[in-house]
Amino acid sequence: MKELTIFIASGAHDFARFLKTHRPAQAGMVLILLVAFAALLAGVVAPYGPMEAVPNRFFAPASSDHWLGTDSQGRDLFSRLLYGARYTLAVALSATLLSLLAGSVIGAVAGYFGRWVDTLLMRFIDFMMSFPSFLLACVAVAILGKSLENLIWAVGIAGAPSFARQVRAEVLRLRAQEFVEAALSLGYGHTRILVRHILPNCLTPIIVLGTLGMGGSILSVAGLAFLGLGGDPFVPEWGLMLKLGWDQSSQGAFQVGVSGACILVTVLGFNLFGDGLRDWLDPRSRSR
Amino acid sequence: MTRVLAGVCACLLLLWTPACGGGKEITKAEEKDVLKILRSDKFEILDPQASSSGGDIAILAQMFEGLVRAPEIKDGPVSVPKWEPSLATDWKVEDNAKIYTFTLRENVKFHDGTSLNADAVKKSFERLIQKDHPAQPTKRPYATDLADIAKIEAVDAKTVRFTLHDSNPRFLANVSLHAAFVISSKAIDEMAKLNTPAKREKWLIENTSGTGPYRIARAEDYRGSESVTLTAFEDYWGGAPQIKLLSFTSMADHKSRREQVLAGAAGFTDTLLPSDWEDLKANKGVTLFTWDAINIMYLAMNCDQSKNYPTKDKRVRDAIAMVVDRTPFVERYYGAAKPAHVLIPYTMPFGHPKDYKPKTDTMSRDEALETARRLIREAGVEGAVIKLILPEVPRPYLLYPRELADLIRQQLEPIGLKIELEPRKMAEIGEMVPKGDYALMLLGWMGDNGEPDNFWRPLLDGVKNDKGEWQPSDNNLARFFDIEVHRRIEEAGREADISKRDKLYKDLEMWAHDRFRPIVPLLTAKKSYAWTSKLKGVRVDTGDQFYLDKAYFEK
Amino acid sequence: MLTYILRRVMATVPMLLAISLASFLLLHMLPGDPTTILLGQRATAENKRELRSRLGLDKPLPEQYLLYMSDVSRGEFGESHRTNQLVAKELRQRVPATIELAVAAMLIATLVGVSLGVLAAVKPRSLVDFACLSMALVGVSLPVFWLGFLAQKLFAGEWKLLPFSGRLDFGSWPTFSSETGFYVLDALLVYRNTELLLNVLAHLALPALVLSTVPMALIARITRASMLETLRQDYVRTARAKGASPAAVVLSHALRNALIPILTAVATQFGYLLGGAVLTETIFGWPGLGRYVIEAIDVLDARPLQASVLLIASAFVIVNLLTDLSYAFIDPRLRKKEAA
Repeated sequence: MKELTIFIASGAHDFARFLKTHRPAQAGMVLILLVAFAALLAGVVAPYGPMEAVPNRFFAPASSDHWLGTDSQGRDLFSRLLYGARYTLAVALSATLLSLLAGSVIGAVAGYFGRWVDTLLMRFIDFMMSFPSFLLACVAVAILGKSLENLIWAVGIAGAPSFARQVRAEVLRLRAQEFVEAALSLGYGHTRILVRHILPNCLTPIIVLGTLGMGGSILSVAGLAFLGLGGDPFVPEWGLMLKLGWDQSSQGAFQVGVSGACILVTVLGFNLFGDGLRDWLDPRSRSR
Repeated sequence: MTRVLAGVCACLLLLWTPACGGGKEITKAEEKDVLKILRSDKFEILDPQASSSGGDIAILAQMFEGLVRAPEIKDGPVSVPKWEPSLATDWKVEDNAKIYTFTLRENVKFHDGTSLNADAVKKSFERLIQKDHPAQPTKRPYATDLADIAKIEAVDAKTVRFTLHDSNPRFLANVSLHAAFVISSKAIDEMAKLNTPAKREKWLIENTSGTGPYRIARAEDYRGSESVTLTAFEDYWGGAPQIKLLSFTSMADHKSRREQVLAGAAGFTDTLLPSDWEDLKANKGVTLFTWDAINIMYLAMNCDQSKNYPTKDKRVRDAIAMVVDRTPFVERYYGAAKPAHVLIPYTMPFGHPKDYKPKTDTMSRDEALETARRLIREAGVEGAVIKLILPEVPRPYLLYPRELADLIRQQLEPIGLKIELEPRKMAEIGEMVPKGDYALMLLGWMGDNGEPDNFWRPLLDGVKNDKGEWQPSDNNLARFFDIEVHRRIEEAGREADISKRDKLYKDLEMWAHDRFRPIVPLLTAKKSYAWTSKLKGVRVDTGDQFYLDKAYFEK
Repeated sequence: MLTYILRRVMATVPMLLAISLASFLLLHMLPGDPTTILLGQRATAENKRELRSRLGLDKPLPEQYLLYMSDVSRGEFGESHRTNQLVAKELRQRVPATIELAVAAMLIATLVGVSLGVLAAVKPRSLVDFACLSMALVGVSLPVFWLGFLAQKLFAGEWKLLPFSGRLDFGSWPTFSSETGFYVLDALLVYRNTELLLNVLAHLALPALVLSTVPMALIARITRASMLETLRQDYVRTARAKGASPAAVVLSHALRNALIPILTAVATQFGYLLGGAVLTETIFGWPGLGRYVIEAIDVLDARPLQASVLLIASAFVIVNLLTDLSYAFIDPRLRKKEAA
């Protein structure tokens, strides 16, 4: 475990140095931090609770009481957007972690064991990838039922195949390296080699993939919510809030505008930061 | 490089071909000939006897006609039910409302060229009421409304006589229903040759067979559930309509429909959100038509004693009725709704007790809250989790299902009831109700024919099942049945004198609510149509239907 | 070369089989009783029993699968219980609608994306380069439905330049009936009417533009990257040194060699658009395949869902196959390798 900590610490140090020179990644980090702070401090900063309704003040315009006005239920829009950061990030993070976990396990096993295991698993991944992932998520929701939890499962499952492919490629590369040969000749078990030697070395690319995947997850979740597959419409998740505004005709246009803008800013943040991470990891892709 | 240039030139040439002409003939319709109509709902079945959705009926009402029709809405709701001649020019009611004799209009042609006569009327009604008719449709949701017909006789070519099992002063109201629209005999014969009901339905779409001012001229004009074009019927008995084409497009999104009408891209639409009405009224290019429609939205509380829901205890039902506050609901409709306290809406021609409120609705807020808390404690259901079923999509009386259900959730929280919202599809709700597996349901009812019976009988009455036991009818959301209520509904329905009928319904209302409290009536919503102000001569009847046979565009 | 093609084609067969199996199993995976799903809520117990035996739902699964496949091979996908129409007939309207939209979007995406990418690569760190990079970034970060909302509000609502939704203003063209399923082709070749064509194109413009953002961003990014790569190569320098004009160098030498990654991106994106246009189709009321899937999911209409899943996935696999095969023609190295 100690090796791992040192490994991460040195990686972080190296990345911090890289970050100083990479403007887009800086911008991305600022955006992510902003959203993360909103999510963490929503309880402190938000003037109202996310479900707290002002009786009979539907669609109130912006005022000093309600900075962005109220929504169709008389709830403070600004507060709901702040809490929305919490829900949106949590949902997208869970979905991404799910894809990463499933993808890494499949990819690592396929790449490490090779032969028929690899063929079988990769055929399966190819098969999953023959459906456009968004559509795969839609069908998954149809099978599981409409709710925010099922949305996580659906987006998580639909996102796993591409992770699996990339993790497999990374493991294949590592598998051929000397230290694996050395470990094998020392008589270590496969599980030990995979967990102790190969996976830690994959960790950085997995983090990069995850960061880039976050943006996609947020968009997928919001898209599914927009199609009405998100379950309870009053959960302050940005996609659901956008949908709720959409259903309110002209009165909801403002809500659609601001929730969409929040989604855009957050996804932009993750993509900028993820691109930066990738450049750091793989200088060849550095395009400047 | 030259190759690229050659390619570009080839593409330009291809684009040029339209200008050369020589293609299949097509002409752009002139603006004055077409009315583009947007519908908030879809078109599924275009068979008058099988349809029950608003989108279908709106189209059917342009293509088919019944013997009598509802009067036009002019100055508010009517006080007695009235019927206007349509395919029948005159009618006689005899033998204590047991025999109805209609005189048919002369020179009425069906779209398929055949003429209207008594035999055609007889045949059309037979398809509706006979079980296992050779030309029967997939379903007949309104057959029960006309099931009391014992005998139909074609007395002569222009006279048709209906004999009923029992006296029924409401028969004319039922004959005005879209299910009783007359279909041509030729069509019924053709449909009888097809072996499945679904094929018959499809045939009827492709082979237009009514007497109305519009028809589906070619099979291609029906483009699935989203778009259909109707063509004027030149031989219409009332004279060929001036607007030659009606193009119906389904568009669920309120916003798009509103903006299309404002932008002049569409000429007519139904159901716009009341929050947009102000804007539309202020706009000179648009005519907004709103009226007090006959409908009610209510919260049904399951009274089934064999089920284990807290609502089977009347104390719980009383408590819920006390704390529900209608003010925010009305507010949410921007004044386009009035609070309701009884079953029969204020818009009904008769049978609505105007000055009566149930006891639960006359308390002050504080008193209501306190009493309700006590009742809930006494019933021992404090902290109970109760599911509230609501429709997934808006209904005309329930424009914001989720939002209003959420308001109810908020209002019931302080008395210790925890409500969980469970949106369901209308089809699912239809299956759930007879089983009665729910505690609360938020839904409503739209009047079909301006008769209180049309509310009482489906909503708070029952029928005998195969074993001869009484059970709540299929639309009885509260799963409520009481033999005395049933007796009173029967009595009122049979009373031919309108003022006596009025009193019987009012008395029933004042007698039943405090005694049983199966429902919390919430509100009656106004409805709306909007059309371009150039369009004149639109007729909207008290059955909420619009007609365009006399409509035209002002120059 | 031939063996390569054969091997590649053979590899897709098990994939197609797996897809057909998945679409078959979908009926059993949807929540609820399959007969209720197929017949809808209106069905009586008797209807259901009859259907159960007619479809052989009482038989073992492998036998049911064979029955399903024999239906599919005859182009029969059953009936939709929502509309009572044959699924095959509905697909004949839905599929061309989506293809038309996807082709239009890909045309825009490829034209703009490749031009931007090339310009950016020719002058790195210039304003064009910055614009290209920003667009590539924002393009993949935009929620499509939000962009659609804004576009609709501005172009159709405020400025009244383009229609809101749909494929054609049927009110103005009441006698239009599509012969090819592609309205652009109908207007161009069947009716040969300029005004009709303009109406069709006006309806196509906004949805195609909105749909093109993601592929445009990816294509621009890939074009830029692979152009930068090729422009550094020796043969490009040689061409320059030999005095070829800058335009000729970029277009005929560099771009041609950068074509493979660009082509891959175009093909993959096109495959995704076939089924991934759901959101755009929803906003603009475009009666396409993606929308069809969502409508089917909404009422758990099993037959349309099975047919669409089968169709989209097979199309995707076949597009991938064609892309791979076309490399063999474009890339001389691959051709030689196979020959050797």
